[in-house]
Amino acid sequence: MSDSAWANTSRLITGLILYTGLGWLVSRWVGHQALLMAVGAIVGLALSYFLMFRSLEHERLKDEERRQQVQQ
Amino acid sequence: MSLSNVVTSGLDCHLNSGCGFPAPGAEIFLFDDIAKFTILNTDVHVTKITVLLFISVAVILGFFIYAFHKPKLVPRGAQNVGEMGYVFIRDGIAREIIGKDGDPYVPYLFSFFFLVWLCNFMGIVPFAQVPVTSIFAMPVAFALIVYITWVPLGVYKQGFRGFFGGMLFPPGVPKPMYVLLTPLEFLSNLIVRPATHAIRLFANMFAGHLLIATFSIAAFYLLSASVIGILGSAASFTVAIALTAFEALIQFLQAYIFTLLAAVYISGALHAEH
Repeated sequence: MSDSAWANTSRLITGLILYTGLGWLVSRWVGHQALLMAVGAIVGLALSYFLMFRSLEHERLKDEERRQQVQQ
Repeated sequence: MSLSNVVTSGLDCHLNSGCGFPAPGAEIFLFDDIAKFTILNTDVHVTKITVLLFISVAVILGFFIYAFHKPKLVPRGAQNVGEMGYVFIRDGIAREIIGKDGDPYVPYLFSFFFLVWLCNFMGIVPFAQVPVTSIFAMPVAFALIVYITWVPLGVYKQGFRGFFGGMLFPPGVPKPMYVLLTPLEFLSNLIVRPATHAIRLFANMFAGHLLIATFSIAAFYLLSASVIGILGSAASFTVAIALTAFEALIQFLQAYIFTLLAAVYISGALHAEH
């Protein structure tokens, strides 16, 4: 078992909170209350998903490599 | 009014005596000082929690010293139980999570597992009846010890650049993306993960203790000379007993998860991240 399950959970939470918070701050600054906060939430989730898929894909490749070594 | 008065003020409160249900709140996690002294300008307050923590440590030390003081080739009795615990941590956590180089970390994980388990277990020991880890400072202290283990360990094993570079700058990503990804990875790995490590243990123990307290108080409060009082009291009492059994399971599980996560973090520090 690897730590990807735990790492990805915290990535999802962090991405969402960080970029929603940043969006909220920016929207307070420019005076557009809710819009940039929603944009921030979507950007944050997208980035978290990007990191998550990246790490899962890496793991899949590693598993395949291991399987090929066993077959040889 | 001292704290113990707040807690026991509900004792003369029953279903038909005109007072509402004295629902337990955060005050059941506050304790009067047993002793108080000052070292190096720092006030040290000894409460029930302090005593229970030291009892937990003493019980673990006592048991394992007794179990292994005259080790035999064919283990019996206490030695058998001690070896089962050791093998559980070594094979179930250290070798499973960290891998071949996990053996040096077995004593560390072993101590953590049994200390956290016993601190949790104090929640269902008669007369103790409060999990030491339901006081937020305790899981925070435990999680900090894990934190200041795996971060320097990672720097030592992989070098400063290798460790933080691998963690904060995931390879194979277009360069401008780092502006967005690095703060995310920094917060996620260095702040959110240790924080959730502590909160997970704390919240489980806090909620479990509150549940048991609520149903125990309900069993007492409803006990009165009426049908609904007797039935409700019996039902609450049964639920309190069932929850105690359930808590016994949660206590073990949370100690296991805490140790497992400590092993996961150490493993991440030892092996370069992809």
